[in-house]
Amino acid sequence: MTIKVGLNGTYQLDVETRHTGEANGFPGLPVLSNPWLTLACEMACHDAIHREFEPGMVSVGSHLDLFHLAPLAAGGTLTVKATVVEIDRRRLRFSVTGGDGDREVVRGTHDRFLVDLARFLSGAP
Amino acid sequence: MEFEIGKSGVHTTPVGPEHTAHAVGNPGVEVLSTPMLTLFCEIAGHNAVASAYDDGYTSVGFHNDLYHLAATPVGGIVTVTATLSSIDGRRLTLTIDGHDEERQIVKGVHERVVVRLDEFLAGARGNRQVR
Repeated sequence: MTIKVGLNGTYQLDVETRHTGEANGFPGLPVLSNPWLTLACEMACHDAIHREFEPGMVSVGSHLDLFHLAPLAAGGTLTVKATVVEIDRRRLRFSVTGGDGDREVVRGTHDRFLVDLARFLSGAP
Repeated sequence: MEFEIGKSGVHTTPVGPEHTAHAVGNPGVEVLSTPMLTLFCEIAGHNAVASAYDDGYTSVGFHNDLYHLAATPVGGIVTVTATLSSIDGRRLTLTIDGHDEERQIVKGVHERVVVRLDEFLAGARGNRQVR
């Protein structure tokens, strides 16, 4: 496994009605909701590192600090880029930026832990 | 609009298969995903402040600083409490505290901005008309 600072990944989310606030309990908000914005950021981070996973390894989100800067309606496209900026044993910190063309939609950091899936699901520390 | 510091909102929900990381793109990780935990925090936050909106106004989440502390399996019951801790103009800051039946699973801050719905949606971009 060779996860290094500087590794980066991307994820593109084509915003559909199911990703909107309206579809997630917020009537009147037919724009991309934070949970799906968060998911797009997590997927970009996953894209940066998953090729380096050893067998049985996954990563799980442990912290997010994300600013949602502009509304994106269904039909829009969000492209997120994530870069590994810090590695502390099994904890990885990513810098995340995303937008739709010329406009910034999300900015922040996301932390993930590398875990052995079987141990993680068994509740082992 | 009279927002009240200290006012809380709560959201309680069982974790379903649709809420797992496995269901949203992380194969095999059959526990509550961070995005869906974020949703539960936002609903709690909305519940804390929604009764104070004037007509035509709502609030939208613009900042989440959340620690996902423990894994909750399908069938676990999650309860998130959001408490309004500060108000700065249109910016509402809520502290987040959430548990399942076993332990604390989330802590952090969720911030919302009060917006006029028509003005906010006028700034939304997408191929589909929103109004």
